[in-house]
Parts: sequence; structure tokens; C-alpha cells
Amino acid sequence: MRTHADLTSPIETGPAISPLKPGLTMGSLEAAGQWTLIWHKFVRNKLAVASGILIVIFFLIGLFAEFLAPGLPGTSRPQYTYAPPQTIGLFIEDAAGNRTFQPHVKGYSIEIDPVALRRTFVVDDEAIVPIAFFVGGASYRMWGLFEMDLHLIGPVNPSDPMYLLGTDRLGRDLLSRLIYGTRVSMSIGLIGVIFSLCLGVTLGSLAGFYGGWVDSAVQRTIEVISSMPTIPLWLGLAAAIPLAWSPLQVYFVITLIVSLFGWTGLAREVRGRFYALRGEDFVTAARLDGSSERRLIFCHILPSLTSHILAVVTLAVPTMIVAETALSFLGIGLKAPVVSWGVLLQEAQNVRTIATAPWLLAWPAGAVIVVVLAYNFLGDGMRDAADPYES
Amino acid sequence: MQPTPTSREGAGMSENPDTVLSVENLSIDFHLRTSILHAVRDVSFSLKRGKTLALVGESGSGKSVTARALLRIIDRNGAISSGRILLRGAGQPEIDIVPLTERSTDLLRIRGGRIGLIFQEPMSSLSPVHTIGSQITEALRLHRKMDKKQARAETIELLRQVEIPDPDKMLDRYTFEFSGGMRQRAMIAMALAADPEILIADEPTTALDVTTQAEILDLIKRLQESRGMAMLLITHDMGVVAEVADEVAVMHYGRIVERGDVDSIFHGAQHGYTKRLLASTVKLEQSRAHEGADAAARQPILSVRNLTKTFGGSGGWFGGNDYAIKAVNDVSFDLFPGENLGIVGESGSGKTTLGRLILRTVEPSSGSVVYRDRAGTETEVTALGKRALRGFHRDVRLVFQDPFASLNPRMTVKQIVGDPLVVGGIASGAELDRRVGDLLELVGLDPMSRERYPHAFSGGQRQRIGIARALALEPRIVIADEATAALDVSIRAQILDLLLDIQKRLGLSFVFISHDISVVRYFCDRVAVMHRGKVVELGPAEQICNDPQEPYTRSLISAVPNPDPRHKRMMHRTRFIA
Repeated sequence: MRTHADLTSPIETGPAISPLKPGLTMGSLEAAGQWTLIWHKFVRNKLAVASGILIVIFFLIGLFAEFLAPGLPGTSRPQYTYAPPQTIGLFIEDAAGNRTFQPHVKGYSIEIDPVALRRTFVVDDEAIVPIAFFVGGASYRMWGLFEMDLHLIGPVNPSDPMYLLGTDRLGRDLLSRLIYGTRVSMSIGLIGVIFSLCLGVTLGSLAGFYGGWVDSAVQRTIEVISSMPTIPLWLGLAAAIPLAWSPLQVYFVITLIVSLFGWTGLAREVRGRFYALRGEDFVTAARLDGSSERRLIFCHILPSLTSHILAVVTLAVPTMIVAETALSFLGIGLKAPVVSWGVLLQEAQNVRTIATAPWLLAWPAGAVIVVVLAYNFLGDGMRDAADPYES
Repeated sequence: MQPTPTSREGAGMSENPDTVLSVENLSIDFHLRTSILHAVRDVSFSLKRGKTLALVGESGSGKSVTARALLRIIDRNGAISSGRILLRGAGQPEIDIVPLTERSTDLLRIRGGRIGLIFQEPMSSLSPVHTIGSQITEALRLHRKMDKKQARAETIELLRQVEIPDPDKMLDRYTFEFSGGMRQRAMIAMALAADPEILIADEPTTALDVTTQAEILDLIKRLQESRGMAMLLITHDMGVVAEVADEVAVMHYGRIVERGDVDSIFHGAQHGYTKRLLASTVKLEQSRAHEGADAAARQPILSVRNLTKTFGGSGGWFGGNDYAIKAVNDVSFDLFPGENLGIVGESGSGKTTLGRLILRTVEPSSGSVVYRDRAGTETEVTALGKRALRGFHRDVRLVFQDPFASLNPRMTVKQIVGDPLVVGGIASGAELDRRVGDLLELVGLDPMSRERYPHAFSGGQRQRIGIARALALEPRIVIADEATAALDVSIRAQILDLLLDIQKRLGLSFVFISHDISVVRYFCDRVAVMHRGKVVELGPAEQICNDPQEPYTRSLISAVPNPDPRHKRMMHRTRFIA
């Protein structure tokens, strides 16, 4: 009993595959290295790619803060305290009803509440403040190197008020402060992570590779550190910073304090990966090939880890940013005149401010949330793409 | 997926009243990132009451996907593109499984109710946090609407049927307390719980040792006959097919290339692929003509004496353990130049540990390993320092079991194969390029492919790369640890022939560690049989395989399925009770 029609067909040499798009070949990935494969996998995650672009934009904002900000972060104008955000209009209508193109914001007029004697700002439709791109304004030293007064956007007449996101208690422009704050907050996350990276990778790989008592020692240290309540400890350390120190010194010490606790998670991750890789056949093979331990670590194990480390680092950055924000919010982190998102949020500490000037809370908090989320999405995407060889 | 009109034409098999399930022109497509993989193409077969159909094929042939399609449990990116799966039961209307929606009660009733499934990996298919009993009871309560008490009684009865001792006690045990064979028995009990008409066994014994495999196949066969179930057996092992199946369908790249009853397939194969598959299976059943039999007259190249490795039994800082396991117990043997020594044993017999002890990637507890180098000087390997050990590792190389894990995916083939040469400072630049090219040619790979990464190669090709790496330092001994276990049978034969060819050219000695008797029979001159850390028998391959002396060896050899349906060996095996 034999029932089949295909008896005479030749032996096939490969599985049947038809490409989705004509002209696409399967062979293009064969000679691709790990980074090409990781990239291919990463770009498929649209959310992660978008988050990555967003983070790059934030870094660019931080980098070109002086140029992008309409004003200086420290300039206060007492006549405009708690001025509400303005909206940009594109056309002006003159008395005859002709509409002409002229980007502008509306000026303020002050009304005094006769009962509470409180000043309130009302948008004054008559006071047109023409604005333009690439205008001269307050002068600054770009990156502390050379004098410039060009701003991306600003009022044509520098003394006119233009507060797109409103002002704070001292009449300082929130938009400018937020942009300058981006520089500090974004970089503190990055620098803090680089500190923790050095500590975490070194200790983690030592623990993972040698195991035994080295591993025990590192692990117990990590446990002791992560069992400490962080905020009181930060408070203590931050309180120990001499008041006479310059803002820049304080900035670096704060990063150090924040990263002192951030390395533990990284070290554990690296140790775990090391442990797993140490037992892999290809590492045993390399050992039998005569590789020394240094060569094993640097030529075989670490290259397999770099993509994972990158992903973990990306996920560690937001904790740094949040830690800095928390410290500054409590008034023990960065202090004026340094501007960071945490310092900005300090302005929004009491309910009265939030009631009268909600923008002081909304914008800095929004920036923190957006960046932290973007870092998390990016990190997730990178973690998924980090090992292109699984499955 | 549209419901196909239930026209009766073309369904020639349906007239047979014994047919319980017929698959007609089934095609399954998988959507990959840039292409569509036609995993199953135009497959037709039928299952008959009380009969076993074996679906045979090598990895990637689409056999498992076909079986899963019957229960509609294909992975998300796959879909049935055409065809019908008709399920007929006594006194029930015919159902086409293909158009059923995912949550329809019909489909839920069929899954586990009318079609039972046994998976390959008994560890991952049983829940680790529920007792064995509660998992079987769940199936009974779902499909047979029993109350708790009835279900418990029935579970005990089922466990008794699958020959688990003390079923009323074992019921309340957890998965980890069961051995691999016991787990598979429990899995079978679960599949049988709802009294299905059809049993699908997807590689049910691949993860098990040969003796356990024989027992499980025995059990499945008996249960199937007594219950009159139809069985679909998915396997890659022609031996298992010959022992168990009534009918065979051979799959190759998604197509059934040949189908027929078991005798006509094994003794009158028509299609080229079936012939090739059988040829490579049967080839491994015979021993090759051995030359250089006069090995004993020469000086051994490697002498292992009283080698022992004890695991555990150490007090640690944070609590050690009190009992120790002798993984390798008092093992002694000699390896002669140009000889292939096989080390056979089931899992846990200590054969892999033995290989690692010789290389000292695992430190021996006691015993000695003496290596005689090219100049004839003897070195005691267990006493070597780090530097001297590196020299020893140049002469004695290891080929790994897993061709995927043993090659660093982040290095090119040239880097992998050339690594020992670079590390040893033997070659660099153009010289390295030339040596790597030569090595790749030696193992039958295109030297032009050296810039590629391992993921561009198939399992067999990767194993060739691993062999090339082992040969790079011109070794004298190669320890091959299950070097062919992860490969399909036709590739397996190719790799073995490659190793033999290289041996002839380079004058190597092999220590060949394997659980697969047929591979050892084909490849080795002498065989050592290991059982629980000890060598129970050591002798010429011919004698061990055809006339074993020790009772354990006898039971092991007789449990190996014979790829000839006319001479079923497994069913008349000798049993060994230790």
C-alpha cells in the first residue's frame, strides 16, 4: 500500500520561501556583524526609535541652550512676576481689517483686584509684541567661549515681554530656565551613569568572573549599600558639602553622590551575565585554545556584554535624573544660580503657587516625565535588541 | 481562513470506517520579517483507529507544525492557508477543525478532549508549582465533568495504567520529584485523562535515555492498543519508527515525499530522500571495517588510572551539603595512537565529566592521567601547572556537543578558527589567512566563507567549524563530547565520515563520548560502557555491540531501536534492574 504522487519528484535542497517584497534576498544578513543585527532588530521597535530621537533632541537642546533660550535664566523683571504663558499669533489685523503676516505675542496689562489687592495679569489684545527668529537679545558667552547675542526666537525689541511658558516668583522667564535646566539635568544623568558604569562593570565583572570569595565580598557590599535608606543618606552627604563651594563643584559632588548608589544594579546585571557566559561552551573553547584570563574577559566575554551593558545603562539614566530632581526639590541638591529641573520644581513647592501659577509645576515636571519615559522605552528596546542571537 | 465547502469529492479515504481523522491538502505558512515560509505544503494523511502513523523527518521538515495544526496551536505568525482537517467520531457529526474560531467550544472540546498531546520535553510541559495529581485532575474535571472525589480516584487509576508505582502516594508529589521517564508517564496519563480518540506524540522520547525510551514506547504502544486509539507519532528516529509504527509518512521541507506501510517504506523505498534517510540510518547500524587492530602492541598515548571525581560533600561558609556524588568512580583505560575509543552511557553516567577530567576543565579528586607526547616523554596531567597545561591543551583538543553554543556568535569564522593560532602566536597576517583557509577546506567548507558569522551556517556546518578549530593546533588526541548528538541523522553520518577521513590523514586518536550506541558502533574501535560513574565493560566495539557480557550492557544494547520493522529488537529487550 503506497499512496503518494510525489514519488518521482527530485529531492529538494531547501525550505520553500517566498519573499514578501520582490528583489529581497535572504543572504544580505549572512555577513553582518552583531551591531548590524542589533540595529536591524532595534529599528523594528518604533516606540524605542521615537524615544531615542526624542532623547537626542533633548541633548541638543541642552547643548545649544544659550542659543535656543529667548533670554537668560537669571534675568528677573519684578513687574512681571507670575506672568501667565503667552500664545503665539501669526497674523495681525489692523483697524481696516487687513490681515498681515506678523508672528507676535500679546503683551500684558496689570489689573489690581480691589478686594484682595492682588495683581493679576490680563492679556492685552492691544499690546502687540512682534517676535522673530534669529534676533539679537541679551548677550551670553556661548559654551563660555565667545560672546554672542543671537537667539533662535525672541521679541524684536529686546525689552518687550515674551514669556511663552510664563514667569516665576521673581519674574524670570520659565522657558529660558527650562532650557538651561535641560543642560544640567540631562548631563547629570549621563555623567552620573558613567561613574556608576565604571564602578559597576569593574566590580560586577570581577565578581562574575572569579566567583568564590570575590563574588561574596562584592555581593555583600552591594546588599549593604542597597539596604541603606537613600534619601536620608543623600541628605547627610549633601549637607556635608561646604557652603563655600562653587556651583560647579557642588554639581560634581551631587553627581558622585547620586551615582554612588546607582552602580549596584549595574554590577549585579554584569555579574549575572558574566556568570552565564563563563559557563558557555564558546568560553570553555577559548580557554582550551590557550587564551589567558585577560584575553577571555576582553576578547570573548565583554564583547558579548557590551550591548547588554548599553541597555542597562540606558535604563539607569532615568533613576539618576529622578534622584537629582528629588535632591534639588528638597533643597539639598543643586542650588541657585545653577538651574536644573529639580531647582525649577522647588518653586512649585507650595499650594498657593500651584494655584496661581500652575505652569511652574507642569512644565518642569512634564519635562522630567517625558525624558524618564523616553529613556525607559529606549532602554527596553535596546534590551530586546541586545541579543540578536537568541531563539 | 475561510471555511471550505464540505464537498465529498476527492476524499477517497473517508469511506474507510476506521478513519478517525483525515488531513486533506493542508498548507501552513509562516510570516517572517521579509518572507513567507511555506512550512507545510499540501499534506494529506489519515489516522485510523488502533493504528499508528509515524510522521518522520529531519529538523525543519514541518512535522511538528503539522501535528500542532491538528489542535490549532500554531505560533502566532503562522496560519493555515488551505486544506481541511476532518475529525470523525463514533455517533458524532464530522467536524472540520480548520475554520473553527479560536474560542469556540468545539475547539476547546477537541483540545485535550478528543485529541491528546504528549510533548517532547516533560520538564517544561508539566507545571512545577502544582502536584502531578492536581494537573491530571484538572483535565478530568474540565473534560469529563467529574467531581473532586471521582477525579481523584480516576487519577490514581490513570497513574496505575501508566505504571507509576504507588499511584495513591505519587499523586501528591511535585514535578521535580519525578525522574524524566516518570514525568513522561505522568504526561501520558494527562493526555489520556479525557479518553481521547487520537493521541499525538511529538518526539515523546527524544529527551530520554534509550532504556527509558524503550519503556515509554512500550507503554504508549500497549495503551494505544488496549484503548483502540489512533496515534500520530512525530519523530526523527527511524529506529523508533520501525519499532512502533504501522504506517509511515516521510516529510521533507514541508512536503510528504512518501507514504506507505512501515514494511514497504523500509524495504522498498521509492523516493530519493527516503532512500537517503534510510541509508544514513542503516549505515550507522553497521560497524565499519576496522584497520590497525593490533593496537595493544603499541604504547598507549594516554593512560587513565583510577580517575575519580566527587561532587559535593564539602562544608561551605553558608552551609555546604553533607552527601557526595561520585560522578566518576575509579575509571581506568588506555588510548592507543590512531585508535577511536568510545565512551557510552546514559545521562548521569559521568561520561561528560570524564572527558572534562582528562582536559582538567574539571579538577579530578584523585587518580592519574598520563600523556605520552611526540618525543615519548610521559607527563602526569593531573600535576601540571597552568602554563604546562596550555601545552597539553594544544595536543589534546575538545569538540563540543552544541554547535550553536560552542561558537562565539560575535566572531567571524576566521576569528574563531584562527583564535588558537593567534593566541599561541603561531601565525598571523597572510599566514593566518592561509592556515584558516586550509583548515576550512579540510573540513569541507568553502574557504571564501571565512568572513561570515556563525549564524549564517547550518548546524552541520557549524560543527565543521568547531572541528576546524579543534584541528588548528595539529593535535594528537581529539575528545569529541556528543559531537553528533545535536545533528540530524544524515548530517551525523557525514560528520562521522569527515572525522574518520581526517583521522586517516592526520593520524589522530579520538575519545568519542556518546549516548548513541549506533554512532559508537560505526565510529569506534573500542568501547567503554559507563554506568553510574563506573566503567562496567570495556572491549572491542564489535564485541560490545553484538555480544555484550555484562547485564547492564546487554540491557542497554537491546533497548536500542532497530531500524528494521522485520526485526524488532526493543520489544524483546533484556531488562536490567540495578
